[in-house]
Amino acid sequence: MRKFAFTIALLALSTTIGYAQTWNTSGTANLSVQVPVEAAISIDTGSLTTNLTTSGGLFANPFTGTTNFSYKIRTSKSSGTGKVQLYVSTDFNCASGGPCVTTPPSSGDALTYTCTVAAPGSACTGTQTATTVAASATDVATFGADAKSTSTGNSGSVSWSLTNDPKYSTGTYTATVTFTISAS
Amino acid sequence: MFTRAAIRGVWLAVLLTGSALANTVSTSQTLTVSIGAVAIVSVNPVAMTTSGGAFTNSFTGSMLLSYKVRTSTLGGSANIQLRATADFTPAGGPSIASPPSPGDALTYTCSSTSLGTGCSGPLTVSTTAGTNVVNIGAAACTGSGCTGSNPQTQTLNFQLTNDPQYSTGTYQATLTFTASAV
Repeated sequence: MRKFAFTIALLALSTTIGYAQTWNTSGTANLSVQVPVEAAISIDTGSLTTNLTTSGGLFANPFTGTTNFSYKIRTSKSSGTGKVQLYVSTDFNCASGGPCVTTPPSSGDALTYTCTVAAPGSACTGTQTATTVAASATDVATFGADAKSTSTGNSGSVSWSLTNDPKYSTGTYTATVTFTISAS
Repeated sequence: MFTRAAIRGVWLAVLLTGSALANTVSTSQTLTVSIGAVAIVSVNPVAMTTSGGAFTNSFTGSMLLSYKVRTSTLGGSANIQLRATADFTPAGGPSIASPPSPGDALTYTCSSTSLGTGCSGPLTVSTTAGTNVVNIGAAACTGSGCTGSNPQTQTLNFQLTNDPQYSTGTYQATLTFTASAV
């Protein structure tokens, strides 16, 4: 019983000491900040709807257009990585007779893209083919350790190319592409 | 048993004692105490964090500043100033003196001031110049019968830009609060 009481008293004393205030004409306080891994992406306002158009001779060129985006990123200083990926989250209305990512009307039809990304990102290499499968999203950019964008964000773009297949019925078709940025 | 001389001695002692008890001697003494103006502070560490979407919000953190103050009745005043006496370390993160991007800043606002006038508006913390955290007028005191609380308190709300240019990690700066009173 005495031992128990002593322990309680000791704990009370420790608590008092832990919260004791020190008084003086000046005092110093440590200010600490934990800077975490973060990443964010924003599609530029003018690219929220990207129109794919064709020009030149009949069926000579694919439908093309460009989506511009900005990103902010901070990857782990020691062994961090990051990436921007995309996938077609809503396909064209395939039943309407137009283009279709999942089941194109002709073999070889595809929605493809190339990438441009400002440092510290590395743009995707070559031509990528867009997919509708989220788990198989394709790269737009990759980042290494201690990658840091500017405070206002860095730029990037995706240049689209859609096969100009005579099998497409005339009309306007819309698909939705989702961009995802991640960092560790 | 007692001799006559002894009995006389006892009576003399009684008379002398009675004489001493009958007299009241008064004297006065002047006590002088000089009470000067004084101001002292007590501070706590501040941990800043960010929440919400990526880069959406700044790093924020609060600190309860405690102070005790006594100012002169006539013409007295006191203030508490804040200055960063050590910039963030290690390098690669935020910096007060040399921020990695224009517009980066460590600022603070004041609220819940128990005595005096707390700072107004966001103030930018500097490593070279102090900024007034609280100003107190004449005839201020702390304790029983005084205005405010004991100790006096004020909340400081710190905000630091969340710049992607900061490398990940933990960074620490030192803030010094200096109190003065007249």
